[in-house]
Amino acid sequence: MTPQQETLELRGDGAAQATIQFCYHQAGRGLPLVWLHWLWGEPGWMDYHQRLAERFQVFVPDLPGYGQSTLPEWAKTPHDLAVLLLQFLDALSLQRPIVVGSCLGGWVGAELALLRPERIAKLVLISPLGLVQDWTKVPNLFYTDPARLPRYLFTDTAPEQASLYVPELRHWTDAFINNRNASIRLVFDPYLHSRGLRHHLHLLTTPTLVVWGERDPLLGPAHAALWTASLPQAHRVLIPGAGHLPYVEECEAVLQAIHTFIPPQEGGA
Amino acid sequence: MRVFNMVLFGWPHLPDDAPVGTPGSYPLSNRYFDPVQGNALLQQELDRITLSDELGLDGFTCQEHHGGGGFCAMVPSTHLMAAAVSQRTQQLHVAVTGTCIPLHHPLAIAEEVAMLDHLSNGRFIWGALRGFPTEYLSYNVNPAESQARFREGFSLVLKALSSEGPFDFDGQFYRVRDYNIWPKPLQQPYPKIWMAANSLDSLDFAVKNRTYIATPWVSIERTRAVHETYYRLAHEQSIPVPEDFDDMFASICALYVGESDKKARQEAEAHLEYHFFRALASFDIGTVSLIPGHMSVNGMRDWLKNVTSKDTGQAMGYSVDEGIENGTVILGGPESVIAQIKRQREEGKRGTLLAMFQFGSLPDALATQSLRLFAQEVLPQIRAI
Repeated sequence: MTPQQETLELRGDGAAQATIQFCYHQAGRGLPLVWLHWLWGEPGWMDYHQRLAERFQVFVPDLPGYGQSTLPEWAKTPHDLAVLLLQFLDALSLQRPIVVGSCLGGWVGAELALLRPERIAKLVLISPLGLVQDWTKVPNLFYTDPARLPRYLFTDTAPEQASLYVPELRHWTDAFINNRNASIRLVFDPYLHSRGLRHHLHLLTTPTLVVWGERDPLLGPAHAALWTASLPQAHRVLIPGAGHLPYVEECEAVLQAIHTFIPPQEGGA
Repeated sequence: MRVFNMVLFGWPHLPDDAPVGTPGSYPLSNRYFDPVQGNALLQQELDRITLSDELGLDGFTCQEHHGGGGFCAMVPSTHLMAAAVSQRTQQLHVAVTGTCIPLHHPLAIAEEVAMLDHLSNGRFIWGALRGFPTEYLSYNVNPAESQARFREGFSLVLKALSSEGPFDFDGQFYRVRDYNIWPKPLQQPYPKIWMAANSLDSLDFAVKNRTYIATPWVSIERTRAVHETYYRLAHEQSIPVPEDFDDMFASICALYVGESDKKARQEAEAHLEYHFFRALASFDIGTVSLIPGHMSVNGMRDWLKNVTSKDTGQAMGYSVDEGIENGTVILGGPESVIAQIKRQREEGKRGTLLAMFQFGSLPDALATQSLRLFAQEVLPQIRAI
């Protein structure tokens, strides 16, 4: 199954607004599932997308500002990205998709469900940003020795493909530089979190699964409880031996958690 | 050629084991700052600025740095320094090069510029600066917004200085209703403005706003290119270049005059090396430059091309001879120094030297000795060039 690469042109809100461009990969049949990528973008169509596409119609958009997707000047927060993403769902007539978001994508997914709880069938948040116990204790992803970056995201037993997500300095591409530039615009201050989100979450009535790597070096697994304590309908699954992007290190366990949360009778092959 | 005494206030007392120059090491802990030594440094420099005025130098300037970054320089407020200098001097221009606009409220900047102009009886020159990414870390201001905040803040400062008020301002970052500056500056509509510009984009902004240019630590070839680009952009857009643009075209350098070439080198070389390899390394320019958002994708790609072949923490240091060759160092006996300055004028198009008489770990007495020699032996010979 080869994913299709598509570009969607959305007319901005109001006559004076410029067009917004969304780029995305799409493959598979079944219930629609939208995968929202982590802070520095998806390296491409990956194994776990492929596996999900065996059961779902999977959409993997580049969030606004990432890849070839454009970020309008007014959009500065993950909440703003959710507003844009709602237009993306409308344009593709995705009435009640499943949304799976990792890291930044998790935060955007939560904001999306807060905007339209009824529009999201089920929500899977994989170590989402947005709630942080003490931001001053969270490693600074924007200023550090670049050689340290993998250690802030992965465990020391991470597989080789971890380097696709945080390449060595000499392999930084224009796309990666662009994605980092987009990310700092969205989450620099307050660092990786929002002061209001915790107080909004009781309105998020979409059934939600919170997945967390037990050895997440960026945001420890205690953060999973922050989410489940605030969400009315949430389950929590910890993934042993995994870091901040658990589907990179423990793909099977994450897929299993998703399949358990969305049993076959709820759709898909 | 005009010469300003540029005071960096870099920290000269870093011990050998201070963790500088290693990736991610910014900021250097302020346990390395000794208050008594710091106070002495400040007072010695103020005395040397007074002396610069008496000896007929054209001006004083300093740069804003925060949190121990950028040479561990101790001028978090250029405006306070300029206020102090304005009260100790009679003739020289009091300049700042400059104020990191996005780190302050533009109205406060405008008000202080106006006050400084009065405190100095119209001798003030303002400098507009975006600053290094580290300044943004220090104040937790988003580096991704630095360019937009700089430009919007700049226009608000100018509007505040020059509007007959009250006026309103509706920006992305700053919104103002019924504001009125009081006092207005003495120089009308406002003092001359230096902008630190190097890239095409920032030069275009400078042309459009008719500011003067002060280049940072760059080579003679680079300042010539900047000078050419400024004229080209102005010509293409039919924007008149200020009459005294060439004389105001400024560059930063470290300057030392000894009795002879040999003596100058003996006295100053180790202190210059300290400047380039110790104090500058406190800034950790390799990893600082990797802070996203401050540079465009193109800028970062070019930067990476240069840096990835080296250790990121060591990207900027060079030898004293390289410094003389590229024009960031002027060093020697009076005759050599005159020749080097002539070359700066002819090949680098430099019209004003922002010359650091104290740099690195150079002791106070040597800096003063060099300044006196410069005023006696060099200054009269370069006036006409």
